[in-house]
Amino acid sequence: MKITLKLNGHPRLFEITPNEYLLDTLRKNNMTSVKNGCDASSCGACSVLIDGKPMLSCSVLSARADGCEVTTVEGIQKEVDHISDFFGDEGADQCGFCNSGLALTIYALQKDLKNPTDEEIKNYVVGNLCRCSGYQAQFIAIKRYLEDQK
Amino acid sequence: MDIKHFHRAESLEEAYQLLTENPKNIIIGGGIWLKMSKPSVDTLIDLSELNLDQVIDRGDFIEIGAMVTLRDYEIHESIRAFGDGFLSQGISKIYGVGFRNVATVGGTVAGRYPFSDLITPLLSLKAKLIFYPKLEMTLEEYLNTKTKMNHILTHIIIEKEKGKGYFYKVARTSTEFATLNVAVFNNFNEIRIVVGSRPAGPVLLHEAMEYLNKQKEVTDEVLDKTVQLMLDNTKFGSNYQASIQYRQQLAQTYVKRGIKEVLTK
Repeated sequence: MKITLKLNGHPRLFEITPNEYLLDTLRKNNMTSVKNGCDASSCGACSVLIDGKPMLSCSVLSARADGCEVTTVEGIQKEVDHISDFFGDEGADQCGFCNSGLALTIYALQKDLKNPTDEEIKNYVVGNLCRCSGYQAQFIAIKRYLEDQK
Repeated sequence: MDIKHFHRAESLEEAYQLLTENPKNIIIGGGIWLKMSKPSVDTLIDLSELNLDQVIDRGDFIEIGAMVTLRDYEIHESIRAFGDGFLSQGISKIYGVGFRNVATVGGTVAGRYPFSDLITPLLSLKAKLIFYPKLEMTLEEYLNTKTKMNHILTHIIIEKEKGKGYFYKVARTSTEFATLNVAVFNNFNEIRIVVGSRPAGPVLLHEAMEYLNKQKEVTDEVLDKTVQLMLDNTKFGSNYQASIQYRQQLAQTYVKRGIKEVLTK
């Protein structure tokens, strides 16, 4: 079956099977910034924005995303670079596998919540797991980024 | 997972017709657990174009469409305000926002997931389910229905009651199922208590509630007797997360805490 996605601002046609997940559709079409971590709705590495909302692409059937606007880090490169600066400054990066998903979630958080509390920030990004850096440096980097965006 | 066809229904009538014409046709909610359940599906029926994704405050009750995501439910003004926010608080502890933007209220309720942090607090309220074609039942009746239903869940209706709620999920991290969850709601006339993830699904503690609500004052002795009635009348079990004994201890502690909490102003 065929679906159309507005991928990073550009309408694109994809040939998919009914049991195909968006994660696989994107990766098959060279959007390899979208990472396949757990493939079981648990790690957040596959996060993308669908109509502006962060979602786990490993859990969204491609057929269901038909007609939606899908954003990966390539679509908001400038903002992601800015977020990455704060991560670099705080030493919040190591292997980088979780970064794409986390950066998209932080970008959405900044749009979604005005003056979030520490608890709200944690509840928002808790599904984006990191196995290297620990979370404290990431949390400080996120707070500094949000402060900068005010 | 084998899915032959994906169909975005244009009406509930069409969805129902598809659902009933082949036992291998199923409705998709959020689709989070679809991959893990590995079904062999002929046609997957999608309801996302049927305007079932709204939470509407009707004054006396709140109407929640089956396709409302957990995140939209969590942040809706009326849900946040209900019972001092205990409905929202419960949801906010389920994985991250990327998960909650995919999972739906209808998919969770229809699936009767025993570990659900959505169903447990809902069961402590006067909650009713609306199905297509014309069928209504309370959430408790639905949870007690063991047979497969061919009706389509379209809405969950919560009667708006003034009161105070308490919800607690026992889990080491947000990304694991509850070892136990407890909801208590005080509408200032009666207290309702629900225990879920026992590991079986959530249940109202009728005997304990009946006793508690007859007492003029809630003393430590009354709390002890309430949780004893819970233990006498509620089945707990063991699984990979916890033993029956541990769950019973947890339930006693958090039910008592919940009752105390909803009695404070």
